[in-house]
Amino acid sequence: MQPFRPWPTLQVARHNRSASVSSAPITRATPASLYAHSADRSLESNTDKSEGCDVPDIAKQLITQMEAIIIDMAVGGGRGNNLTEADCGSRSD
Amino acid sequence: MGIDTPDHEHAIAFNGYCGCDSNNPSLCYGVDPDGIGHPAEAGVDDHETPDTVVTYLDGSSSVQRTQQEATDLVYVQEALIAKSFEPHGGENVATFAKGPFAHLVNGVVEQNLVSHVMDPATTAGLKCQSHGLAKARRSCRLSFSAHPDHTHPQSC
Repeated sequence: MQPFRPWPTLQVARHNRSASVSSAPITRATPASLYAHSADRSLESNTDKSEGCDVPDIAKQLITQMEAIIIDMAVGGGRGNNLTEADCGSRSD
Repeated sequence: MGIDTPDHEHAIAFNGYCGCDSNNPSLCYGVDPDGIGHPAEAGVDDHETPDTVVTYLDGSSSVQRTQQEATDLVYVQEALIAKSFEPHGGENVATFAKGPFAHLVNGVVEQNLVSHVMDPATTAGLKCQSHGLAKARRSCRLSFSAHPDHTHPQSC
């Protein structure tokens, strides 16, 4: 049985581009379905995770997938999940 | 190919037999026998309580039902099951497709079929010797088996 791979991952080998565009926070479950694996839809920022959880939060996975050019463009709300608490965001890292 | 589809429904239902000008949000006025407008009085349920056009299965809920309240922008429709918010619904959803391979989207299907339809559409410009060979072949079989009369899958 093959592990599930999001649609944009399959498109990389075909030289197709992928984007996630949403009027909701980009780390919400629906737009995140294009780039993230998560045990729960609520793990949007690293402070949403319980202690000892090694799996990256959804916002972190978005950055990873964009750096890997699997997601070429992401447009949406919820920037607090990518900002530190010092910048009025919700991240502790 | 362009596909327009949601990933879930909401637990919302629309009453039938609400006459003309029973807008949303509004109380559900019956159908006028003359076919013009609607009766002056809203329809009522078995408890003599006025109906609304829209009802939710679950979520937060209002019980007041005058037309003035029902047409207020902040009015919250009645819900059968009390919850602080309305979660997703489980009904079937619509899928609209246009362009190459859109003919494969029809009838009642499992949601994973959407991906299998998009698959041949995205390989349509590839030649068979490319790295997409295996997938393109599988895609061709998909289009053939779904539509035996379709004799020119451009992907191979």
